[in-house]
Amino acid sequence: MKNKVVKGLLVTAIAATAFAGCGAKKSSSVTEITYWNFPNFAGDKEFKKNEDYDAALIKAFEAKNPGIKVKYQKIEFSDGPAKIEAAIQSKTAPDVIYDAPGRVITWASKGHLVPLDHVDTSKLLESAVKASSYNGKLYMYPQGVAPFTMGVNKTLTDELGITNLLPLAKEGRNWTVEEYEKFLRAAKEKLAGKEDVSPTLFYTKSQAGDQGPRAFISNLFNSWITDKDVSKYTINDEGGVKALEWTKKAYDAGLLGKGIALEAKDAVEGFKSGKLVSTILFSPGLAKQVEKFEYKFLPFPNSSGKATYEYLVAGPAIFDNKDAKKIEAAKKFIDFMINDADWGKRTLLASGNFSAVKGVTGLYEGEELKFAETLSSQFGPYYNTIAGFSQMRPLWFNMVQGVLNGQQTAKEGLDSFVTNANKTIAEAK
Amino acid sequence: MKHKTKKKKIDYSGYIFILPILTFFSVFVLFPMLRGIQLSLYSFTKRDPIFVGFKHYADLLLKSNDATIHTPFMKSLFNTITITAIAVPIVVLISIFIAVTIYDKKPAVRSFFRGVFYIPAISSVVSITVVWAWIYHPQFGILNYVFKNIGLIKESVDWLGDPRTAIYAIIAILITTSIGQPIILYVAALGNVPKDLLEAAEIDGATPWQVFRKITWPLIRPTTLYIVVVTTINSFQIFALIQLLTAGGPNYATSTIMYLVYKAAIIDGRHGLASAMGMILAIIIAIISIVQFKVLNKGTE
Amino acid sequence: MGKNKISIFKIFSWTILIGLTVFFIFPFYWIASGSFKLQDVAITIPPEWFPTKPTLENFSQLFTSSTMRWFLNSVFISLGTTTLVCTTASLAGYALAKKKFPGSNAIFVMFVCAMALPKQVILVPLLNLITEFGLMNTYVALIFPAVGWPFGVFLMKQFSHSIPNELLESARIDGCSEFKTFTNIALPIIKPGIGALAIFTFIASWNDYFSQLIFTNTPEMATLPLGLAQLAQGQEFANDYGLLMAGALVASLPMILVFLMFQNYFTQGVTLGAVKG
Repeated sequence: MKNKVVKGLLVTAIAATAFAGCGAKKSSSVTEITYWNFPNFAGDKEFKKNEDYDAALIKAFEAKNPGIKVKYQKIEFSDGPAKIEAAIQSKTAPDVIYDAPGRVITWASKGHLVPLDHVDTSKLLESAVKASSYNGKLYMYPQGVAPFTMGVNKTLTDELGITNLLPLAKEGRNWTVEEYEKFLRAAKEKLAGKEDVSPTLFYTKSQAGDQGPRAFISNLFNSWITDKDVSKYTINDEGGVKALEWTKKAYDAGLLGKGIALEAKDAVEGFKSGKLVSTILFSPGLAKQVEKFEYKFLPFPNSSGKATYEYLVAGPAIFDNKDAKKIEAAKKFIDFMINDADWGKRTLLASGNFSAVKGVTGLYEGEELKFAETLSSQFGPYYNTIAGFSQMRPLWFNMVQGVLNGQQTAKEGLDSFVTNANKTIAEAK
Repeated sequence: MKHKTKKKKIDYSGYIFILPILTFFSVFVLFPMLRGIQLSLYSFTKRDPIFVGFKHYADLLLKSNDATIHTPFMKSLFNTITITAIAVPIVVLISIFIAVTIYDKKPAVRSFFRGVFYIPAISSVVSITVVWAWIYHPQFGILNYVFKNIGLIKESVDWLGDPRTAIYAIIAILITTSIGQPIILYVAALGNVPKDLLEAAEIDGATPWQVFRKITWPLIRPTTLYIVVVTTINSFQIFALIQLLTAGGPNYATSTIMYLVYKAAIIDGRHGLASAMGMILAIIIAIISIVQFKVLNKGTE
Repeated sequence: MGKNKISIFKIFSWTILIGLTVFFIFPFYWIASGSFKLQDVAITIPPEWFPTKPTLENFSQLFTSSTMRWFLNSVFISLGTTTLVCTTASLAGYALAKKKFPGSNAIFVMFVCAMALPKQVILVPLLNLITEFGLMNTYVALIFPAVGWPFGVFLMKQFSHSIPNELLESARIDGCSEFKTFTNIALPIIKPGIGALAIFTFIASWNDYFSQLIFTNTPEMATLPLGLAQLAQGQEFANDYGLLMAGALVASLPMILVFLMFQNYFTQGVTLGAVKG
């Protein structure tokens, strides 16, 4: 009797597993790979939604490679990272992921990824290759690069009569903190009585989109998060402290919105729906989502007269799921995605990024994207692959929250941030 | 009601009856519990697990590794206890108050109010967080709008972003989701209080408060203690509200142990550390439960 | 004079009660009315207290996505959990209440202790276990651990005490097997208890957002609460409050209906589980 119950349980368990079985083993002729993507491909003319574009891409690939089936899953920027981590830990990681070096290199350092030795890196931008490599091996196939900038709703500034305060006519559109503050104050004044519209939103709830606030602070008084060699954190220098102090003052004056409990998606949505005059997180990819008004890229205000940009490198990487067939198939898929005669360029354009191949420019029409393309000469040191990067991020946004809420001064906050962030480098090594 | 088991013979068939649940329990609760103790002694942040002994416990409880481990943990522990300490008494007070007001009314009235206050408890917590996120929104939220119009505040408040309000904003939601069961229990318990006792007291000239204090309260004490235990456990488990509304911010002002365990385990992949946190939490809950059960038993006997 | 006092007291307490009712009801009103608003209406201040131009747009958008699949997953997981919990718990509760065998007390105490344990305490080992068995993204991963949680045993033990020993004795004398005695004598008596437990478990497992979040990561396995959370966290619909409210409504409405339909069972279960503890 006892045995029967145990058996019964086992049978139930097995039956249920089989019933729910994910990726049941099929006959060997077809290799199935899983492919996860954030909403990266929103800019295609025909397929407006990310998932529709990805579906079309997969269809085209499968048509050319009948032996391979690609299973797609969309993930979000806010909860996606946790999902991938959980998937890695539970050994259900996808075969292909389209992401950025910040996470990719961390996975590479833990041995979760397949090195992409077959890629010829000589034609690619050095900065992009460097960002995508770990211990001299390429782990992400860099397809696109793009600066993170600020953006402004020109339709709205025209309406408010404050477009003349923007640096649009200046060389490189560069502007100083004073000019920026004047603009924000004017916007706030003109918006009096319109409670649902704000001059901008300085958000700092979590790590989602935290490159925006980091680039913002590091630019204002010409500081940077790390040193040039990306060996230690340096944002507590004089300029960094001054920048955070200014931010706190502007926040208290109501110029930067109330973003302590809001994140990038709130800023993006607020800007898109016309509820923010300007945004501190903007990029060619995000610009493609703007439909209702005329937008302009803006540099971060920088007292030196020339902004430095954080930039995005994006491309696919392959998880090592211990199955040579799947790895082979995954390699074919990422090659298709980047190098196929039709779909390679189309995918890049859909992502809204600029090409990571040397000398390939002028892909986009329009004044704004042409302007954005010129910014690559002002890219700052790429620090998203620094050891312990993911441990540093909560230190950053919690510190900024503490300073904005007056629990610590800018100097105290930045000093302890740098001390602790430098510890994360040592710990992760 | 009490059947003494003395006369019964030992009946081994009992084992067969409890075997199914015992199997599930052993595999999915007991075994993981023991495994957790083991895992808490290892570090999983590198490629291979490394035995680190009690390092995680030391990191959590002592002042090494300050900013990334100890401080968040202590803040979260403090928040968890604060949330529980504030929410539990309020839940008890409000639910007694509501139950006292409705228990002797018509069944339809009772059902109506029981329903109203139970709905938040049975609704998906995700539904509740999305609507509250909107209500609390600093720019588009209705709370700021209403409070400004009735003159309670002058400037919009960032309810979830300001450390002075964030935890209370969370507690308010927690209370709305915790009150349904206590009300049902109190209504039932009050229904069992003998009517003639109350009437006799009123005839003797006792005020409603005296009647409540001297007669009702002692009789519903066992119910109260049960409610305290259950609400404490629920408050300790608070997770979705934190994960979806504040992600523990601002500056750990609303981070709880539950959220921190999730963050360490799932977001950071620090399995050993997360297990150690779980163990410390289990010990704390065990202590609280033992104390409460002791009091509960005293109350009934 | 005494009467006067009482009526002032009454007015006072009914005022507070009505205030509390509004406070509790409002979020649900806001969900319901919000689900009929378009985005540009939803984020306008001053807000529209009542949707002046109600639209079904949000619902049609919601149902083009995978909502039906989420719904079915939720139903299946909740039903599976409920069936298993009710079976195992009524067997065990009956045995613990009515049978005497070595260790029964120890086992019961162990169950009671485990009830106080938050799930997150064993998150990591459980995740490892699920992974090692290859159960990630299966219904088993969402159902079995919930069955191991012994709340039901506790409740069913309370109910089983009310089975008269004499009945069990006479069944035995008639030569009924242990199992027959259970199904023919005990089961009909504890039926109301099983009903209460079923509703409890169904709602708890429907709303078990945490397990769903951890043990699944494919769109095929998403449940209603999980799907809603994803909508709320996504870039595209993050602040599309109308759509989110429609989702919130759809995620909660089934449970509210279950509650309203079985309110009496429910009340009975809650009361018995607690008071006789």
